[in-house]
Amino acid sequence: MTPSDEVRKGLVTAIPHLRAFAMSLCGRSALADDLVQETLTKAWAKADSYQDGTNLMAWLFTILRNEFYSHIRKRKREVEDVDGAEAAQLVSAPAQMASLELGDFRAALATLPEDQREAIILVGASGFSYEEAADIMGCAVGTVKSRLSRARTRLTELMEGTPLSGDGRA
Amino acid sequence: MSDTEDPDDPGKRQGSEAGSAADPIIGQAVGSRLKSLFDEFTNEDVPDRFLDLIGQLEQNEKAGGESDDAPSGPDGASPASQSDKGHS
Repeated sequence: MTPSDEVRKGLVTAIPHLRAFAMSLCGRSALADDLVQETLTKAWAKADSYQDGTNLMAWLFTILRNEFYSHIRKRKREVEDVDGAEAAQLVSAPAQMASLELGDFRAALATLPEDQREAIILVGASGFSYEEAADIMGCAVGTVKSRLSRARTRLTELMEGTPLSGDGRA
Repeated sequence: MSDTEDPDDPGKRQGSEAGSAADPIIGQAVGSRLKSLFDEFTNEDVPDRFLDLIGQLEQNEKAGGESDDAPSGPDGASPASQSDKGHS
């Protein structure tokens, strides 16, 4: 029940990364911060299921993404009762666009299906290996790769189709 | 003229990015944007609510758990007492 020092310190260090993950998944929103809060609380409560020395960040990301999906499922159920069409929008409402270049990309990211978005964030932004990402998402490594590949194709199309993207490829 | 150096040698352009080569599936164009976006998020100040939360969780644990320096019952230490010295 009592978190070890490793977990305790790790939690504090992880907060900015957890927020970044949450905001990448669902935009800069109250939901993102709620997900982080839930994650910290859960992690604390079940600290004894974490084994010291293993990948704490991956463990925390797993908790957060599970929270994210259970939120989505709940939300979809609620909304389907009223109007099924609204559900999709709730899930991927893009964040306010802060800067043009990043804003375009953010909007493009928000149009990806959740599983592809999650895969590309875990590997491309958070720096997890394919194996770690597969663990976090509870799927096979091959599935991670195919999600990445589809996400890249989609994002590349969107970026190239966007006149505003001042493409700084070097 | 000189044919000893090949300016288009792909081996020279790649692999020199300080430690952060793009993932081969994701590619450089998408990868670098992902990283900037993520860095932007990561570098934001952490709202106080999260540090408060950690402090709160620690408090709860001290109150609930059985550590040797815990005073007595749950009423022993009231967390609200930290600022009631300020009677003007």
